[in-house]
Amino acid sequence: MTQSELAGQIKERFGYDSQLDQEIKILVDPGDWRPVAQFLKDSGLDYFSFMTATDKRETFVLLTRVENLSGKIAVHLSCRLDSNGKIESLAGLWAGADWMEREIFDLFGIEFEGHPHMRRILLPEEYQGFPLRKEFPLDQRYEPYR
Amino acid sequence: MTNATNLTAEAYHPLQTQLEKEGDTLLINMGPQHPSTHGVLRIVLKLKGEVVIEAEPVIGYLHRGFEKLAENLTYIQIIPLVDRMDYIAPVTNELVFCLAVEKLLKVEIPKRAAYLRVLTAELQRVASHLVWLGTYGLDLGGALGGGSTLFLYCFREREIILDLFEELTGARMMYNFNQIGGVRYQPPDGFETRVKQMIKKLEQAIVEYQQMLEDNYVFQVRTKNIGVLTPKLGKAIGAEGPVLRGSGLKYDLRKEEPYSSYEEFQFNIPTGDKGDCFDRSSVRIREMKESLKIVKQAIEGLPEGYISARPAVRVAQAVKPPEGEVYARIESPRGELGVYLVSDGSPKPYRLKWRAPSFSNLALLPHLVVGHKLADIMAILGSLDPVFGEVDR
Amino acid sequence: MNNQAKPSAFESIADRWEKFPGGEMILTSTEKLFSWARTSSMWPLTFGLACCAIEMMATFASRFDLDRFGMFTRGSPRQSDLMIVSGTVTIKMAPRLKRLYQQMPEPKWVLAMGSCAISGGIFRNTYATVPGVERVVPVDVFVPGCPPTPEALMDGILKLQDLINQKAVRNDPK
Repeated sequence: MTQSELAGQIKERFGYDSQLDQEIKILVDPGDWRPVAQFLKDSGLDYFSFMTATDKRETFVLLTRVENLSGKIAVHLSCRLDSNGKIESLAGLWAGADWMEREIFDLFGIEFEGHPHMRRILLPEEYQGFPLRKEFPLDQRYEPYR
Repeated sequence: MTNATNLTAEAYHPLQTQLEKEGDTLLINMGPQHPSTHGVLRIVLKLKGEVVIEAEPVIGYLHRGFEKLAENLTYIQIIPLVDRMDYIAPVTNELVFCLAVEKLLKVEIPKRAAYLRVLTAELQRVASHLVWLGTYGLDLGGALGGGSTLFLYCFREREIILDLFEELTGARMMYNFNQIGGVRYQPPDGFETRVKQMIKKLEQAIVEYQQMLEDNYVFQVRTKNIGVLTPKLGKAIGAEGPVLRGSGLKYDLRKEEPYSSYEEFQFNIPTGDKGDCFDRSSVRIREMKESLKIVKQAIEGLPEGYISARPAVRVAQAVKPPEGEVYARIESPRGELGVYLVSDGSPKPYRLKWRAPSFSNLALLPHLVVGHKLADIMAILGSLDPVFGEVDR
Repeated sequence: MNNQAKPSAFESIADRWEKFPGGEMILTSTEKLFSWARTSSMWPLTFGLACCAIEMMATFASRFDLDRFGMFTRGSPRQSDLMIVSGTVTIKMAPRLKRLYQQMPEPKWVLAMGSCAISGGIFRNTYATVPGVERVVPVDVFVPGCPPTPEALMDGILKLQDLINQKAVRNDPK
């Protein structure tokens, strides 16, 4: 299928417009995050590239990129959350979402419901704070080492 | 999903080993300092006798806060920082970052710069695979047990390549060669002859190593049918590069989405068929040969012209991409290396996400080691070729 | 330059060397003898953390061979006496580094290789970097560079050997 066909199918099923350039960019509501992802996986987008978040000071924007390698279709699925937002985990759909979501939890504090083991992955287990938020200072102290 | 839900919180004490009540299941820690873990990785293992039941990698021992630091530096200042992520192939890191910024700025780089980028990227691929091969020998054989033969041979060949880089850029490892708009240095006189001598020497050496490995019965027994990866799992995790090509999928970003004039070069994409460690190793060795072909084409066809589309940067704040976001990706020696850049019009990025191939490749480890013996963990980890600078960033 | 033959090991440590009909006798002090033994076969712990580890591996490899100085890496801290901290020390790794240092038997030395181990390097100001391994273990020799070339690392090791010979090291086991 082509990009425009997939965009058309998403529009009829869920009602979201998408921007088409090198990849299809869709912005969904948090409630539709997992249903749209499930639909994309069932349409053959089985390569999970990455998941990340951006702190836009009032909201967080969560972004996932999934692709179909042979059909050369890529989708950037994004969603806006507020600071204490929780969202459903995609770890059941793509195995790669497991570690990516743990990293987002570690660095931003966004919690994913339904994730099998939500734990910090890059920072020490007992670390307090979420470094990649904009209000967190770059050179935060950590006794006794810095 | 990793099946690490059974490992309790007590498993995270570094030196605790614990015998469980049902039979001879042992919970053991393979700590951050280990001669064969390619860097700082900790694996918490649940073993029954010598067979692995569960494994969970614990990472983060080299987390240096790169993404937050990048939000506080200007684009020119980030280029040397980015070298230190995948430190075995620094030129590819600079390349993907410069491609992302050039996409936002909508700058076309001159042909000579594109060819120089391809030349250095492929030389870097050969050097990176030589490091992989040398350390794979150490993993399988041990430093005092015969593995150091391959280690010493591969590093000797790598020194020839590093000499070329030193002539071109002045440094052995962190080159700072790719700049936004082109490259930084012109090749000196006589560079072409020396590159051709290097190609001749390395082609013979790689044939020798291929025979040394692939016809060796011990290597075959240690790597055949070990760590078999299905393409479905590989795609779901996000593994790409030699790891996915070893399972039979013929996908290479240099052919699918050519960047920096790769479409003008002729080369093949080697693939494996079963997806075990042997196939991944064989794919990497054959890739080295293909890279040397590309290097030869690049140095012979190097066009004249400028090496940078933009004048030399006088002020660090001069690069100000317009607002927007972009995702650029290249084929690094480990897989798909991507940069997701969000810019807000200021000289510093708003958000820089580094999509590291080793992070996704390493997430495969718990799935691949189940059912194998303790010594096979090193063979599998070596064949995934992780670099912890980019896993932890 | 100097046309005299270089002194052999025995000549360099012997205060007096006598030859008898039945054999030879060397008179020296125990400090000189032990320093000679310690400097001629220092076994480093394989402790590569980041990029400097690659240059350290290159120093141990074919072109800049360190085996001719009697050094080859040992995997276990119980069997090594030199810790070459090569790479950035992060807050997650620092307690493990300290524990490894405590597990090494005396006499032991630490060589901080590269800017990150000396002062945190390019990552000094981030939330997760320990600005210099001196905050965790006492260091004897600092080798600057990012990464230091193998020649620089060899120079640092030879300097450490000089310090041991002069008994000028920090944690001198007396």
